[in-house]
Amino acid sequence: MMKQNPRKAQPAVSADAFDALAARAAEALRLSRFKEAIELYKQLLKGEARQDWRDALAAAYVGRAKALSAKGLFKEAEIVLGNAVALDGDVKEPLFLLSCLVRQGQIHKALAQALKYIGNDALEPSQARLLSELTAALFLARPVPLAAAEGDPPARVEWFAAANAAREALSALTAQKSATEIEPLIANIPARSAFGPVRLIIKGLLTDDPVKARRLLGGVPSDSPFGPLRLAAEAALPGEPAEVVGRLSRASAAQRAFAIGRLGGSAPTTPMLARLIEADRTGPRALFSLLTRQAASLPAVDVRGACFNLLPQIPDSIPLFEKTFGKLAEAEKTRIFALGAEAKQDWKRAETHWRAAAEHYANDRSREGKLAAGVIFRHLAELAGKEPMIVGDRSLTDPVVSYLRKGLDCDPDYLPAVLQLIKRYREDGDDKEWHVLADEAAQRFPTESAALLQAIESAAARKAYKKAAGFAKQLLAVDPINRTARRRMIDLQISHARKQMRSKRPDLAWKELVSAGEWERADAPNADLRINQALVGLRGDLDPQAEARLREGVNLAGGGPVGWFRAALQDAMMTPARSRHVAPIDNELRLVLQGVAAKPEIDAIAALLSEEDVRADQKAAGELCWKFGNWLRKATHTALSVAEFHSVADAILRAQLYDVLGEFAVAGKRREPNEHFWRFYEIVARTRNDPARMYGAEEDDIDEMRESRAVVEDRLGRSRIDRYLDGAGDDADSKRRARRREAEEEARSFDLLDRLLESFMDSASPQEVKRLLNSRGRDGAVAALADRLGKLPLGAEAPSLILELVANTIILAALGEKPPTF
Amino acid sequence: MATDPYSILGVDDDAGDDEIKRRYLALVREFPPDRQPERFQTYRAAFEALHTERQRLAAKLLTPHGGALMRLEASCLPPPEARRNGQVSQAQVAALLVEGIERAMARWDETSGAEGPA
Repeated sequence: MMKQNPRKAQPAVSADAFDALAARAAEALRLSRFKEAIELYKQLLKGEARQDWRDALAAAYVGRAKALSAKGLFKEAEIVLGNAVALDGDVKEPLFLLSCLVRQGQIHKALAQALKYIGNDALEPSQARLLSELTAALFLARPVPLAAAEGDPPARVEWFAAANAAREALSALTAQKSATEIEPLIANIPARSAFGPVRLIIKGLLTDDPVKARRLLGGVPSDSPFGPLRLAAEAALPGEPAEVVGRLSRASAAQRAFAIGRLGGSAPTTPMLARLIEADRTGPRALFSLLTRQAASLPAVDVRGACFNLLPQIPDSIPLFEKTFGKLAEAEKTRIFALGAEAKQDWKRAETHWRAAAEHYANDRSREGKLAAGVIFRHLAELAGKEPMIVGDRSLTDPVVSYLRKGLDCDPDYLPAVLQLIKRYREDGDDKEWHVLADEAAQRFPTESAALLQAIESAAARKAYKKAAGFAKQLLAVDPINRTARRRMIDLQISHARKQMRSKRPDLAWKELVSAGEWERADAPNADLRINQALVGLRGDLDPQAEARLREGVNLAGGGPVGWFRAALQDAMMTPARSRHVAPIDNELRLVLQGVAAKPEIDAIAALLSEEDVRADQKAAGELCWKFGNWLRKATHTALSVAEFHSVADAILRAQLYDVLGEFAVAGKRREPNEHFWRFYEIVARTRNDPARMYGAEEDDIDEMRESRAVVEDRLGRSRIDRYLDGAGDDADSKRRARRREAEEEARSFDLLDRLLESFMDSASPQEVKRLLNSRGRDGAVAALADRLGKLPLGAEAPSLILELVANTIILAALGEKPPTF
Repeated sequence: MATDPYSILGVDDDAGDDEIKRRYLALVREFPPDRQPERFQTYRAAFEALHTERQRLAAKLLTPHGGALMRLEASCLPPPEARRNGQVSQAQVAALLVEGIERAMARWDETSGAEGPA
């Protein structure tokens, strides 16, 4: 008996049941449950062949096909997509179908499918363009005879003609026909067709001018289907050997094969070139192995050099290297280990090996050995500046300083290292070492401007003006137009004159300033010098032309409020606090301060307040700023935007005019109520730039501000808020707070060091430490002691660097080299 | 372009100040910065990495450069006279076109979301 089809046996479905089924199918499709949707729509279509259900079923098939493709099941995806096509004969997603076919390697089938769409205007333009380019590449990869049929749309006919022309030109190129034979064929390829890239590539390959070739090839987008062919053509361009090899190394395997062929692949050496490049890409071990095997057939020196350069990556190949090429020096071996450790960012090992290598080179005693040791120590200093794991001598000395010092011991004639060390001493506040080294540098490099400038700075910092002047003269003998030195000398002599004035010796101050005039160049008159000469002239009644000189200086300084502010500032720095300005300054200030501050004037004054000597004399600047407060206050009515106001705010903060800042903020908020930064400045003003003084509501406002989109996108604005929160502002209050914090942190660290040391000394005798030293050596003893210290109750909270520092001090104390304290 | 400064300038590892400077100036004359700024920058950087004895020493000691390998590879290049109009096959061209088609399709898959259900 025949088995009955269970589906045929199903009873007729009611209208309600259909509705329920349709709802379930739509829900399944919406939730991407394509398999279920396919089954449900099939059932629905059996009941009634509705077009919307047919479309929904096609959509479910496409969805299912994409899900299969995402799992790498391209064949299955293609079959499922075929079901969608069967519904009405239309391919729903031609590019997706093409993708499935290409991924299966079915280039011929993909081409056959793609050709159906050429000249089809039903596709949207971007899809049609991509499809046309892909079809062009597919056709040239696997050419088939192409002929337009009668009635084909003109676009299809043109495409076929361009395709045949491109195929003919490419065939002529691969058949090694001459340029004169190929050029007419290229001319038949329309430049704006999908085959335009082929035209450019062949032209680029035929031209003898590499610049023109690059320009032509550059016209083919690297992400187009012709991109790899363009890159291969570029790799085949003539050039310096190193350049050609570099291009070949970056090329893909197919590109390299093309380029090497084009460059004369039949030469006997080219297979080796391809093998070398391939091995280089595979990894250092493969390349090392190839090179050692082929050592006899390649230039010996370069084979050795290439193998040697691979050793840092494969240090375990050192024995094989030595067997093949002979013994390596100890210095070379340690250098290889150091480079290898550095590549792996194993900083501790890198430091140990670099130090050992430097010792080996230094012990060589030759000039080159010393220079090499210097190079390595400077490299260690550079690493120590970046990597905290580089610890130097494990003493309290900054490892950067320690290594720069060692570098100079080996190579004292290298000026950049001397300057770097001077800079480091200055940054670390190690004034004694700075001055000694600066003087030494001036002696060792008497004709180097940079060294002499450092000597001037050092002498000036010690207030040794005569010595500084001596260095400046020496410098100007070497470099007569050195503006920095001239400017510095004038500043120094002005400072000295101020000192004389405070000692009630205007005659000496006048003499000092007259001699300062010798540093001035006729084409670069100095405003401060003019102003100070005038001030001494006026106060000491020494110069009948003083007032004219003062006005000249003010004009040189920009005139108006800026010029008179500068003059008043110089006057305040010259005379004891709270004394009145000289008459012309007082009168002119009164006049200019009646006006309203303009932004460029406020900016210029901000710049003036940032100058080093002004910053050093906060008292003089502060009192004057207070006077300028009312003038600035009038500018609150100027409609400055927040962006314009930031630099004004910096000036106001530097002058600590918090009330003025508050008034600007209130006025700004009135104009722009939604601008966060006005509220920010209001808070800064009220808290006097100290975040610790914020109220809860202000903290909430700042938090909200930092989260707001406008501030998140404004990097500089956000860093302004962060600087305030970190208490790292630019004004004196912030700096004081930062210094206090630093001092507290330092005190805490030293306290921890001392307490650790004390607790250890209570439990271990110097004899015990000496025994440890004898049995384990210095490094071993440090490690063992650090380990023991870490087990103490206090040691648990200390980082390993601190433990090693304490361990080192314990050893020095046990040896009697240092008292047991920090 | 190679990364090894000696190969970039085309000088031997033992070249001295004068030779390096001479070669650098010749390259600058051949590829002036106003016409080939990128090339000039590369030559300039290579020159600056080598123009003093200490810099050369640092380059030798601190960077495992590929100068020797580059020279080996360059020595395997066909002679300049053979480097024009060498032969390429239709198969090589086809391989490059298939590479381009595959890459273009992969990019399309990524941007169109074809790799998964919409």
